[in-house]
Order: sequence, then structure tokens, then C-alpha cells
Amino acid sequence: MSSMELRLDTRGDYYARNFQPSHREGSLILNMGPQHPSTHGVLRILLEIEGEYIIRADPVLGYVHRMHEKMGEVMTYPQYYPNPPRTDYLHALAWNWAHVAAVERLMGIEVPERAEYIRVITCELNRITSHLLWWGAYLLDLGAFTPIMYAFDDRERIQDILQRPTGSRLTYCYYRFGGVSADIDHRFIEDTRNHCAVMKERFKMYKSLVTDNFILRKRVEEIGEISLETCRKYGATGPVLRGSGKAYDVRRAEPYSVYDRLDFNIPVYDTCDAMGRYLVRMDEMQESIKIIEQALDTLPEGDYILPKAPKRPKPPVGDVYFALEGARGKIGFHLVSDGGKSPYRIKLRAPGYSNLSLFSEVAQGTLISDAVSILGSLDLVIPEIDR
Amino acid sequence: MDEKKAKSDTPAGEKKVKPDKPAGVVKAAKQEEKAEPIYTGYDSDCFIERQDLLKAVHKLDQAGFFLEDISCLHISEGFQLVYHFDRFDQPGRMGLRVVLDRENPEVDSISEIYPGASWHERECFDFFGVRFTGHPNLIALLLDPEFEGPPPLLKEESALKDLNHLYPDFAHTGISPESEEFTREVNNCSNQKSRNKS
Amino acid sequence: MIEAIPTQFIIIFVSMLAIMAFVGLNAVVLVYLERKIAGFIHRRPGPYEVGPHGILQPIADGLKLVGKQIFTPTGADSYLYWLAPMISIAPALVCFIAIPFGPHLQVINTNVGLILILAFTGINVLALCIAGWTSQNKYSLLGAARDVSQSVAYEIPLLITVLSIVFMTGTFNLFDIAAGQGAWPWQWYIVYQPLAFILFFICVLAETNRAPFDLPEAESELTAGFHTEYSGMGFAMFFLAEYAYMVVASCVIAILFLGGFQGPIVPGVWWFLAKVYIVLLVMIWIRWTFPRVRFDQLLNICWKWLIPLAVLNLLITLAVIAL
Repeated sequence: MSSMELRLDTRGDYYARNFQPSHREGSLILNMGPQHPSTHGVLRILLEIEGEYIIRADPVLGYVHRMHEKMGEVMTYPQYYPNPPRTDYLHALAWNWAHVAAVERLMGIEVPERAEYIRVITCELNRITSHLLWWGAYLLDLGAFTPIMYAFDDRERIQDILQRPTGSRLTYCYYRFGGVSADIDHRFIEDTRNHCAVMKERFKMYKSLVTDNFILRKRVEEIGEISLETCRKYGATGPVLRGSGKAYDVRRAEPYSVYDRLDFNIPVYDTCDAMGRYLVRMDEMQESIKIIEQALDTLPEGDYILPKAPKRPKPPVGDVYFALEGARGKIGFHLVSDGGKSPYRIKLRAPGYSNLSLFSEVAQGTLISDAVSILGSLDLVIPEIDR
Repeated sequence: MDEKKAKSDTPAGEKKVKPDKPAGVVKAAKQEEKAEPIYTGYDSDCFIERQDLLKAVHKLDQAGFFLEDISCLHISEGFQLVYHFDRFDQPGRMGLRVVLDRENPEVDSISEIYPGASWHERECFDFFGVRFTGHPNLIALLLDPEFEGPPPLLKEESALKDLNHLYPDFAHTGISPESEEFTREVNNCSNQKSRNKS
Repeated sequence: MIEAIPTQFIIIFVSMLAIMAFVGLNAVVLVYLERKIAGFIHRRPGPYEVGPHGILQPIADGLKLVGKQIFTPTGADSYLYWLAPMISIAPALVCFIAIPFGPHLQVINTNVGLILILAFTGINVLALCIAGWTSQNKYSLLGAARDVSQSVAYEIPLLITVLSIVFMTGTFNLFDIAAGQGAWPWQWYIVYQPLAFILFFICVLAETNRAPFDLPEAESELTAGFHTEYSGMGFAMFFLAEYAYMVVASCVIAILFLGGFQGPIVPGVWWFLAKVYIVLLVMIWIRWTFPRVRFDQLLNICWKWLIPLAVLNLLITLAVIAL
């Protein structure tokens, strides 16, 4: 009889109990995640469904929460180097950069030109790897198995290239206060140039093989429409915003490093749907290639790190907010210093956090399959959201 | 406030043309000449009173700002909430600072105006125990909801710093959202100058 | 003693054993083929470690499945729960008795062969429905619900397209249908009924839950659909049944449209197997190439396109026959 009793225990955990009371007659509460193939890690979404239609959706976070913000307060500045890249493991260098640049700005450290160029090149390479993985995983969500293998093929090659200067393949920790940890050599430059040429051909293939596929278009067009106003109310940035028709890119809006000297476009689509976000990312990879090639052409000689860069910095009292464009949107790094060896407070703005928060509004009234498609099109990295 | 404003209007790009300084000298140099521009990332920055928050945020909403995040700080006065706003069309970061007292860390929720603030507020509730009145669903977001114990980001008494220490050259009295000054801050909030220079 | 048992019974008993062996062997070959072809399409080697070129991989897979713990979810009706995989596989085996593998290789040459196959494959829906219902899992339930509406919808165009062939040949007897076609491709019914072939093929993909119509087990949406909770041999039975239905469907396609065992020079059996495997390869190829359709799109395709087209095809066939 014990099995019978267990069956009747449908109260669920704290969140389920909190979610349940207002449910409609005849609806079904479905727990999507934290172990679900298409929630990419450990996102959990409580769904109230009627048939296959979603009435309410409520994301539950915190399954990979590691409290990076607290770690920032108890560690010294250099000890915190490896932490930010581990929040968003797909675009690690952007987070690495956010941390480093925030401290540099607070201290007024001038980064050598060559180091800025190296940062741009490596960060953009990393952006391509991030978008490639998103592309593969998104199509996997839509039931196409093959593209992720092609994406990994290209991604692995970029990782090989990045491995030379950075020494790692995923959670890069390459930037230092005042520059980068190692210079790039001619082989890195050669490999990067070759791979850029290869990638241009691959994008054509991706378009003809995948983007133009009839079934795919039916799955992403007019799905998950996010209006510009919704984006503003929820603070959505990055490809989500640009897929809703606003050319807002931190690289242009608040230029940092040497982006203001490079010529690139901000891809914008005003369809507001998943296809818009898809195409923005596909175009962004090509823009990144353009940026890398330009940066390689104009790479100046000089130091790769400021010779007198502080090993153990003690920034002056004050606070700084540094924002940069990650693969998922605007990464913000709010640093408050009390003049000590470790920060007084670190606040990380994860773009995925804001992007995901609009999901419950957008998912209402869609099918489960569409919800999967919308979730994928937001490009979520859960460790970044949970921090 | 004027000093701060001078600070905030400083172009980010100007930093680049500054000659290299040995790291150790940086701090000393800053103390000598406080007016010298140092990048803060804020194009407009002001303290407002706790009860004025909704009015101020409403004004920002009408001016087309979006909410970047809400950053909470544990200080000896209590808590400081920093609301970071930015704009798509005329980029420029606006910081709204609200100081809450220790005994009653409570402030109006802005999730009515910005639904996206809901999660940021839950996060502050999680990490600091700050309560937001009028929040539709103020439960734990990132931590275990059944977690017992003090909020994890509270500092020890000895480690606490006060506003005068953290923001020495800053007027800590709030300005009214109806005032001319606030409107000017909102309208002039732009990083255009720094972008033009760079 | 021997006389006491009817000959017919012995024949059926022996042939059922042979069919089970055939189905098992096919599953082994198909698992290997599926993985190798997936590897080829993904530009990776596929299974490579067990035996030369990974040829023993299906056996390793099978042993693993046999060795897994069998478990029943809490609150599930264990009798029905374990009955479901058996209900799923049994009709698939029965279907093979009506299939003419060669001019002299058929268990029962019955003149309702086609109806027999269509009827028995329909039982599979029941099995998946029971599996989804008794699993005590919401994902399984959703998968089962999807499967029922999908199968019911696609059964209709399937039957209508079959009818156009039946009207052409005037028989339900599979042997006669195969024998009615010639040895060369231009003598096959695919030339006379190209539209019917395409419709039938699409319906078969949907009926066997193959991608891009694999919604009942759409793993990115429903984790694994109706077989989410099954482990070990329970899962293996569903797996086996899926491949068995694929083989049955390919056999029917080969008989109806590709001339069955007809072919020049080599004996008919080899031709038949070759045709079946070509159809199977196409099915595997499609699976690894296309994304999955959405559920309402799937039903739209059926009700708005396949059924009208199938009816149209039937009417044209009738008109041509009448003239």
C-alpha cells in the first residue's frame, strides 16, 4: 500500500507548492527540468499546460548557483581571475575581460595597444565558438541531430587556435590587469587567417543545408515574438534585442578597447521571432570574422602586457560599472572598492538572466514544442544565469 | 554633486590618451587631484530618497530607459541599492542610489513598472534580506528556499564601511525626482561626448 | 504422434521461430547501420571499438540492455506496464507471415494479406497508449497522447493510398500484387502510381514514429516520450518493435511499389531484401537530415495535404480504370 501513498503525494517541493495554488481546473502541472534534454543544463521550468498549450510558465533557478559574488569579496583581485570565465563557460573571455577591464578602469591602468588587439581577436574567436555551439544545440532542440557535429568540427579548430596563447580550451583565463598573459605568435595568426577563410565557406554551407530548410523555417518563423517594448521592460540585450529590431550593441554604444577603430556592422532583424534571433547570430559570426581579419591586419607591435602592471592591485576607493558585449548580450561588472586588497562588492550582470526573465511572458499560449524553440533561441547558459 | 558630475561626464576615451602611470602611483595621484577624470561607467549618478523611488523610476521609464540590474551593497548605514539604467537610443548609464536603514530594509518594488526587475529584486532579497513591498512573488530565487541562516552576502560588522568612506566626494542626500536637477540628469544622461572623442 | 499435430500448425510454429530470428537479426543489422550511417552523415567514424569497424557493437548494446536492472516506477500498474512492450512487439511478428519474401518463400499465402498487415500494425498504438498511461509519468502520458492522435490521423491517408493500388490490381493478396509487376523498374507500380508512393512513404514515416515525425518520443520536448520510464529489456522490446515495424513497412513498400521479389538474374529473395534495405536506408538518411516538425504542423500536413491528395489519387486511379 506504500506505493499508493507515494502516488498521492503530489504536493511537490517548495516551488511547485508555490506555483500550484492558482492553477486552472483540468490543467496539468509539468516540471520541465532540472534534468531535461532541452533546458541546457539545470534550468527548471514549471509549466501549467492544457493539452499541449502552456498557460503559465515559471523558471526556477539556482541549481548551479555557486555564489561567485561572495567569492569575489573574500578573494584578492588576482585570485578572482578564474572565476568570471566560469560563469559563462561558452564566452569565457568576455567575462574574463569584464573583470579585468573593470579593475583597469578603476585604477586607470593603460593597456598597451597590442594587448587590446589581442583581446579583440581572441574575444571574437570565442564569440564564434559560443555562437557555433548555440547553433548546434538549438537545432538539436528542434530535432536535427547533424548540425551540432558540424558546429563542433569548426569549434574544435578554433579551440585549437585559442589553446596556443591561452593554454586552455573552454574556461579561458587569459587576460591580466594591464594586458594578456602571453603574446600571440605568427602561427596563431596564420592559423586564424586560414580558419577565417574556411569559416566563410562553411557559413555558405550552413545556410544552404540548414537555414534554408523548410521544416526548420516552419519551426522558427513567427515563433516566440518578443516586441521591442518587452525587451526594454525586461532589460533583454544582445541577439534577443537585435532580433527585435534594435541595433544596440555595447561595442558601438559604449565603445571599449579598440572596437571604435574597427569596421563592422550590427546585424538587425525586425521580425522579433526566433528566426530573427537565429539570423542575427549567424550574421554576427560573419561580422566577428570581419573584425578578426581587420584586427590581424592592423595588429601593432609592442608589449602584450604593461611592464609595470600591478601584480597585486589595490584599486582606489570608488565604484565602477563596466559593460561589454558578450555572446548573449550585455555583460555588466559592478565593482565597489574600499581601497583594500579584495573588492568590497562585486555584482555580475548576466545577460541571460534578463533574457530568461521574459520567457514566462512570451511562453504563454504556445505549444510545448514552441517553448523549447523559444528557450533555445534565447541562448541560455545556466551557470551564467545562476552565477 | 558637482564634483561627481564632473567625474561622470568624463569621457571614457580620454583615459586612453593618458600617459602610462606606474601602478603604485595611481592612487596617490588620484588623491592629489580629485577632479582628474577617472572612468566610472556612470554618465549620471544620483542618490534619491527611498519614498521617491517609484516616481523616479517612472520618469526613467518614460524617458525610454531599460533596467540593467539592481546591485545591493551592505554598508554600515544599512544597505545601498544601486539601480542601473541604460538607454537604447541614446546610450548612457544612469545610477539611482537608494539608502535603506539597517532596522527596516524595505523599499517599494519597481516590478510594476519594469517586470524584469522582479528577478533582480528577488536576488537582493535572497542575498541581503532586503524586502520589496508590492513584489508579486518575493521568494528565494537562487538560494534554497528552505535555507536557514543569515543572508550570505551580509558582511561582518568589522568589515562594514560607510558611505563617506566609499563615496567620499559625493553628496549623499537624495534629490527629488520632481526637481529640475533630476530632469536635467535624465535628459543629459549620455555617453555621446566620450564616444565622439574616441 | 506426428499426425496428431496439424501440419499447418507445425509450419506456422517453425516459421514464427524463423521470423523471430529474422526480426532479431534485422534489428542487429539496423542498429549497426543506423549508427554507422549517422556517423557517416555526422562526419565521424561511428562505432569503432567493438570488433573490426565496430561490427560487434549491436551485440554489446544488446548485452548491456539484457544486463540492466528491470524496474517499475512507483505507483505504476506493473501488470499492464510490462504487458505494453509485449503488445508492441507481438503484432509486428505476426505481420511477417503474410509477406512474400520470394516466389517460394511465404508462410501463408492469404488473399487478405494486406488487410492483415494493416490491421496488426494498428495494434501498436494500443501498446504505446498503455505504456504511456501506466508509466505514471507526465511525459509518457503526453507522448502516448501524441502517438494516438498521430497514428489515427495517418492511418487514413495510408489506407486510401493502399486502396488505389488494390483497385489497380484487384486483390489484397500480397503475392499476387508482387507477381503482377515485372522484373524491371519501369514495370513496377511506382511508375504508375508515383504520387501514391510518396504519400505512402510519408505516412509510413509517421506511423513508425521515425524522424521527422518522431513526436511521441521527441527527446528534446518529452525526454523520451512513452518509453521514458522503461529500462533494460522493456525498453529493448520497444526498440525492437520499432525496427520490426520499419522492416514490415519497408517490405510493404517494396511489394506494393517496387516489384517485391521481382528482379532479373539472381533469385527473388535477394532482390526483395535489397529493395527492403534500400527503403530502410532512405528512412535512416531522412532521420539524420531533417529537424522535427511541430505537432500541429504534423496534423496539418495530414488533414490538409495528405488526405485530399490521397483521395485525389484514388479518384484518378478509379477514373483511369473505368476508362
